[in-house]
Amino acid sequence: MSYTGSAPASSSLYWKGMESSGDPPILAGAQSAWDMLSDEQSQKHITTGSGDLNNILGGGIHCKEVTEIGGVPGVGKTQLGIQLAINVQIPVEYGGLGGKAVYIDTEGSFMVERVYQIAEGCISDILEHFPHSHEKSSSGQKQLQPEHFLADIFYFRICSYTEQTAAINYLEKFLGEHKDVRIVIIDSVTFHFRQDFDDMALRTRVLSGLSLKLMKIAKTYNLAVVLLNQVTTKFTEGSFQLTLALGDSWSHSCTNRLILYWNGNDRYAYLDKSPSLPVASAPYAVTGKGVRDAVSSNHKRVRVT
Amino acid sequence: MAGETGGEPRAWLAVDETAAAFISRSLSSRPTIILPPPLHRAPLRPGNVVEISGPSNSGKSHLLLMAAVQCILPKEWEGIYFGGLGKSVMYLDLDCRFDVLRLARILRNRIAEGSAHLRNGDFEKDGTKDEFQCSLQNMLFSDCMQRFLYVRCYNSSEFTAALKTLQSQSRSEVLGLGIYFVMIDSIGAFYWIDRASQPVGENKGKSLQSITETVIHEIRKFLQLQPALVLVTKAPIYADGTTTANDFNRGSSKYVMEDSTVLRYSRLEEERSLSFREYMPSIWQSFVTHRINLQVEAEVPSVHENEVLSTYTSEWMQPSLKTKEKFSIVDDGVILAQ
Amino acid sequence: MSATRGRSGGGATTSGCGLKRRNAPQDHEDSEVMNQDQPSTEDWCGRFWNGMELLKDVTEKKHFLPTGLEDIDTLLGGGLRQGQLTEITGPSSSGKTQVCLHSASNIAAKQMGLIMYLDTSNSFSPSRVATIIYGIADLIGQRGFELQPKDARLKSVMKSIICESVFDIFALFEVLHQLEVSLLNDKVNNGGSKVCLLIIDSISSLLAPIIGGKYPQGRSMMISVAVILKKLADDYNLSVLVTNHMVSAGNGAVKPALGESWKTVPHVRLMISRENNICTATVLKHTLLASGRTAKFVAPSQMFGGSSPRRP
Repeated sequence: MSYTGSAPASSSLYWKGMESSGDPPILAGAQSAWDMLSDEQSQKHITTGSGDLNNILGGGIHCKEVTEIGGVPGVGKTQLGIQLAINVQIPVEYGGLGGKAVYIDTEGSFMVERVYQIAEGCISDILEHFPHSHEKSSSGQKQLQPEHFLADIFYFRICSYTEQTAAINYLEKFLGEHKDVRIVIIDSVTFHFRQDFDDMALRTRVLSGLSLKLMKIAKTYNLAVVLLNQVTTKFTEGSFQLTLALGDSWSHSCTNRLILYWNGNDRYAYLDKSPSLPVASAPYAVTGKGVRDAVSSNHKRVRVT
Repeated sequence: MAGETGGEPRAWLAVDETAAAFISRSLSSRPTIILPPPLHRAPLRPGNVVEISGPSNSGKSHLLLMAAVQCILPKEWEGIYFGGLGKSVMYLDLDCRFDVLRLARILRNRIAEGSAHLRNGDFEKDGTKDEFQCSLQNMLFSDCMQRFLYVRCYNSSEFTAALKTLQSQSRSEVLGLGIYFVMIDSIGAFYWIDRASQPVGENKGKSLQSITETVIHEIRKFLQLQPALVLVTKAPIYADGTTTANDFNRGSSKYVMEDSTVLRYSRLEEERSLSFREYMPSIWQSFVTHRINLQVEAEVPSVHENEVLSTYTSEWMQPSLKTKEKFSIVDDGVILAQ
Repeated sequence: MSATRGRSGGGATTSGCGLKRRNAPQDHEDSEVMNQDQPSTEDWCGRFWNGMELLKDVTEKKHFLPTGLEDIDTLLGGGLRQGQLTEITGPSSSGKTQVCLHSASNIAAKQMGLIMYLDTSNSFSPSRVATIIYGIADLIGQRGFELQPKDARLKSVMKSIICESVFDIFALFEVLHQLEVSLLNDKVNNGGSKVCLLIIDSISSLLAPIIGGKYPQGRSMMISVAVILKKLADDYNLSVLVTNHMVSAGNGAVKPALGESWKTVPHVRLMISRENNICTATVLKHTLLASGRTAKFVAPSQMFGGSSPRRP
C-alpha cells in the first residue's frame, strides 16, 4: 500500500476542522472513502478457477459484496457455485482465504460426488502451482485432503420459501458463531419464490427485505454472498428474450451481476453490472476438475453429470 | 354579526338589506377575481375554496404560482398596466418543494412584458432611460416579492400552528393590504403520517379526521376576519394497482428503454387509469367550493430539439363545466391551446 | 436557525424556540394538540418569509453542486441544488450508482465540502472513486494543489467523502438523526467542515420492504424520511441525492418505484437509461425548468470505466 504513507502537513490543512482531535466525527462509525480504499486494497478475492473470469471480475469474487450469477440451466451456475465453495478454502499460504463456506441449496442440485471431484481438482492444482511446498510441511499436506474441504462446507437444504426466509434470518446468528465463513452461496435464490407465491406485491417486499439482509451480512461479516439465479423468457418486441428471474425490483438487489451464456459451443461469462468495473465478457470452461480457463476455441463441451 | 348587535334584540328581527344592496355591496367589497387561465372559467370570490387536483407533474404548483403572481402584481404602476390585484399571498408549503427562483422568473417576465408594452408606444429610447427603467423594475419586483409570504410546514401540527398564526401575521403585516390569497401545497402531504399515528384500536382515520377538522376550523376563522381566496392543491396518493403487480419477469430492460415512446405511453396510461380515490375526509370535501382537475394529455415535441412540451387538460368538476381545456406549460407561463 | 432566517412574525411567538424545538417529538402529541383550541404557537417557530428573503437565502446559500457529468449538469440547469432533493431513477445497471460516485468525487475534488454517502447495496467502490478523482484532478490542476504528491492529494480529497452502510429503515432514521445533531453542533460552533451533499444509494431498497400492504405504517415512514431529508436539505443547505429503482408498469414498460405518494417528494427527478454506450437522461420533473427534456449522450468513459462490448 503506497497510500498509507503520512501526508505532508499542507494537504491536511484544508480539512483541519475535521481532523482536529477536538471535533467529534460527523457520524459515529462511518468511514471515510480514504480508509475504505486502504481496506479494499488489502482485501483478497475468491478465485473462480478461471483466470479470464477473474480478470473481468477484478481478481475474483469480492468479499463484502453481493454477486448474482445467472444463466440458463446447464451453463454451469451450480458448478461455479461449488467451485467457489471449494476455492474459498484454499489455505492462506497458498494464496487463498482459508475460509469456510455456507451453501444454501433450494433446488437439490448440490451433487456431493461432484464436490469431491472439484475439491480433488483444486488440490491437484495447488500442488502443481506450489511444488516446493509439497514436501515442506506435513500439516499442510493433511489440510489438503478432499474430505477436509468438504467438512468445511456448511450445507443447508431448503424446501420452501418460508424455510429460505428463516434460514437467511438465522444466518446472521450462525455467522456470528462461525466467524471463519467467508462465502455464502444460495443456489438458487429464486426457486421457491417463483413457485408458490400469489401476492406479487408481497413477494417483492419479502424479497427486497431478504436482499437487504444479505447485503448486511456481507458487509458485517466481511464475506462474499453469491446468489445463483434462473432465467425466464420474456416476450418483447416480437422475440423471446432471456432475462433473469424475479422481476425488475430484484435486479437492483445485488452489487455485481455475472451472466453465464452459451456462445456456440463455448461458455462465456458477461459482467452485466458492477460499481467499479467495466462491463466485459470472457470465456470459461467446465472441466472434470471444475471451472477453468477455456483452453481453445474448439474446446469440447464437457457435460457433467 | 349577531354577536355585535347582541344588546339590541329588536335589531335581530329587522331586515338586514335587500338583495340588490347585497349584490352591490358584495360586488364592491368582494369583487370577482379573475385568475390566469385555465382558472378563469369559473367566477371566484374571496371566501371560496378552490381545490386543484391532478397527478404529479400535471402543473398544479405552476397554476398556483401564476395565481400568486397575479395577486402580488399591482393593477397599475408608474403608468404601466399590469392588471394585478396588488395584495398579499400566503403560501403554506407542506410538500416543501417551492422554488422561489421560479416565482421570481415568472414575476420578472410579467414585469418585463408590461414594460415592453409601454415602451412600444414610447418612441424615445436611450440608454439612461433604460437604466432608469431597470431600477424601477427592480423596485417593483422587490415590492411584489415582499407581498409574497411563505411558510414551510414539516408536519400537521406545524401546519395548524401556521394557520393559527395567520391572523396575527396578516394584522402585523405593514403592507396594510392584508392577505388576499391563501395557498396550500399540497393538502394530502401528511396523510400517511397522520393515518399511521392514530392510536391503536380506534376507528380508522380518527386522528386524520380531527386534524382535518382543526384545519378547516382555522381556515374558516381566518376567512371570517379576512376575506381571502383559498387555493389548495391535491395530489393522488393511491395508484391504480400496486407498483409491483406485474413484476414477474424482469428484463435487462434496456431494450424497453430504447424506444422511449413506449415508456411515455405507459406513463400516460398509468396516469389516466388512476382511480381518483378520494382520501380526504368528507368534511374536507364539503368545505371545498370549487374543484378543478388537471390531467397530462400528451407530449408533443416542442420547437427546441430534445425537448418535449407537455399538454395538459383542465376540467372543472365543481361547478361542473362540460368543457375541457387544453393548455401547455412553458418555462414561464401557460399557453392555452384553442 | 441563523439570524437571517425567521423574520419574527408574531413577536412573542418566535421567542424561546431555538434548540428546544428541534428535537421535539412530533408524532404522539399531535392529536392532543389538535383538539385543543388554544393556539399551540408557542412551541412552533413561525418562520414566515417573504419573497425577497427567500430569494436572498437561495442566492446566497443554495448553490448548484456540479456532478461533473456535463450533459447531466446542463440538463439540471447547473447540477444538484443545495436545499433540494434530487432523485435519479433508472433500470438496473443504467448508471445510477455511477452518477452518485461521480458527483461525490467531483464535489470532493473541487473541495466544496464534505460528502455523506449512505450505501445500501455495498456498491460504494473506493477504488472507483479514486480513479474518478485522478481523472478530475488532472483536469483541474488547481494552484498549490498540484505541488503536493499525488497520493497526498488523493488522500485529502477522499477523506472528505464519508461513507456509511445502512441496511434498514430504522438505521436510516438513526443515521439521519445523528447527522442532524452533528450538523447542528457544527452550526452552533460555527466551525468545522460543512457537509454539502448527502447521497443515499439507493433509498428505494430501504423503502421497498416496508411499503405496500394494507397498513399505512410503511408509507408513513416513507413520508417521514422524505420530510426529514427535505428539512435537513433546507436547514443546513444540503443537496440530497437519492436513487430509486424501476419496476414493471405492465406491458413491458417500466416506471419508477415507490408509488404515487413518493412522486410528490423529490424536487427534481431525473431518469437515466443506457443502451450499450448511449445514455439517455430525461428530466421527469424539475422545479425550475419545464419537464420532459431529454439529453442523449455517449456514456463518458469516466462514467462507466470503459467501453462495453455488445451484449449477446
